[in-house]
Amino acid sequence: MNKKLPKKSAVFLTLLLLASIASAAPNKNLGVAQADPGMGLKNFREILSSLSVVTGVPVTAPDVSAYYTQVVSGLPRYGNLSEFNPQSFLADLGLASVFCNHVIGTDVSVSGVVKSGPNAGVDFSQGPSHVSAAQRDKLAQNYISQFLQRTPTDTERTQLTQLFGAMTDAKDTADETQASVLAVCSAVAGSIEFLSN
Amino acid sequence: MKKILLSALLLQMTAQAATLPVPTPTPSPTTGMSDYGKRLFQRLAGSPLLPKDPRFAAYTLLIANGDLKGAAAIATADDGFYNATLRDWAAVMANKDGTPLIDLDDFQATMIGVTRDDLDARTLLTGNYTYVANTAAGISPPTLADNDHYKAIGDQQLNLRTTLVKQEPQWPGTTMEAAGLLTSRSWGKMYFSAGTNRRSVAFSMQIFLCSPIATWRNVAIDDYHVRRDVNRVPGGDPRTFQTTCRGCHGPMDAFGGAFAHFDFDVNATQLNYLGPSTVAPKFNQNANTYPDGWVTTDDSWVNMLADNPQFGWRSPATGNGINSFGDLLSHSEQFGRCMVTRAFKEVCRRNVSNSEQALVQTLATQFETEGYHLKSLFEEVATSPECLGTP
Repeated sequence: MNKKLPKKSAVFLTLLLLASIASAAPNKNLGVAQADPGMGLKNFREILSSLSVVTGVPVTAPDVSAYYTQVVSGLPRYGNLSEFNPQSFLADLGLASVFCNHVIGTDVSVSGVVKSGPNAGVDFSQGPSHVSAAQRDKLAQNYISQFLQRTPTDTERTQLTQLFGAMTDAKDTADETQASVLAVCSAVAGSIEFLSN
Repeated sequence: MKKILLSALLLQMTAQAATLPVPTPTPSPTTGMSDYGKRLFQRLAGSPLLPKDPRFAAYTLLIANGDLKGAAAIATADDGFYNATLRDWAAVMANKDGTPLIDLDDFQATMIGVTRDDLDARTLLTGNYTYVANTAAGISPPTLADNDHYKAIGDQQLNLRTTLVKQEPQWPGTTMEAAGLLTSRSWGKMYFSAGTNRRSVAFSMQIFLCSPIATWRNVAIDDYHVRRDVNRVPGGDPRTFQTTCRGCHGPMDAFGGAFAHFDFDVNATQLNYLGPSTVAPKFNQNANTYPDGWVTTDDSWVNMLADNPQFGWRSPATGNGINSFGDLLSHSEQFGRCMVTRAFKEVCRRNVSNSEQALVQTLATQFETEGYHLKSLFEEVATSPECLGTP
């Protein structure tokens, strides 16, 4: 879907990117790689194909293709850990959010409550207040399962549901629901765990 | 206030997400597949194997039963192996800078096709064929003058596993002596344009034998074949030539005749084969620099490195033409070792260490014994404990 990001999403993405830079810069966790020399990152082609396989969005989708062309030179080229830096992380995160937005856009076009997929149970025609705590938790589980192929930890579930809540305000519009789901999806799809290879 | 809270949340989340997972043999609670299994598939296919995929159960069972080669074979049958992994692998060899981020070209397409079809990899340097898009793709055929055919395949993100078909001869309608990748347009553009074609020698050794010039230059080698355009007294000091220049030019110029009939017209952007009796003028340019130097009159070449044990040569030390030169390289022991080394770097994401040379030799010997099949080589490399550990 080529649906534009709701306004709130732009704010969210900016914050997400800023936060990513701050967390990526110290890079302390990459010390793990020293114990495992085979560890690597997905490179530009692998990031694209992995996001496509997981989301089912074809790499030829115009929104994906256009964004990928913009950021491809910033994505990891060889998949070496040394290529992990704020620039490559941002490019990866941005591309992940485009795939997420595409999937959400498809679900938004479905009238009523989404029946299947990671957004099952979400009514995108309503504000976030209509997404129950249980549904938010389910969203977190669904996205971790979809992208990382594992069950989330309790902390991750808490953080992701908090993230969903942080995107909402008193207006309680349908756009906010989309933005909140986009935040959860992007946080998982753009995580370093998914970027790692 | 909300923005601050959100930033803090995201900081916390991303910091946690930044913890890279360490592969463990424990199966994922969600999928039942071990991290090793996930990683093996991801490294070979370039994307994950999802639980909803019909191949998932069989793949997981193979991993659980320790049939890693069987599992790897599922991964190398995946479209992603061709569209991502092999594409990267080939692209790195298809340009001087060694970057995978380049347009698709005939060099890469041929490497991908040869791997898919399980052809003898030695024919990469001797074969009279190339790989092109099938007619269903609706793309104009490739020409000697542009890369449009392959760029269109790449731009349209066509599936390389299903789109590429073998075309014989390599260049229909021409009489060009074929030598696989060495007579691809991509190669010609990189190494036959301008210059003296010496780059073709240096880079063919670097790319296909993993032997940069620094590893084989030798001032003790006879300078009999060094051409006339090489100054024997650079800077007025003959010692410079004797102690430096001849070390590279001695072996390089002796091989150079192999490329005597080839040129690349920069203005027309066209690969040119000049015919079996015409030597490209650039071979004998600047004759006055050293008139007593070697004059190239045909496509004969001499292997002045025949005594160098690092290559493991198995062919005669002399030959004529580009095809016999390709045959010399591809039949050397070092060709197999180089393919192993390159596959290892692609899949294992690191260079082979000095302490792993025995592994390289073992895999290279197996590669040769089993018929030089690249797909199988990738499977062997990926499932070696040195690459991704053990399940």
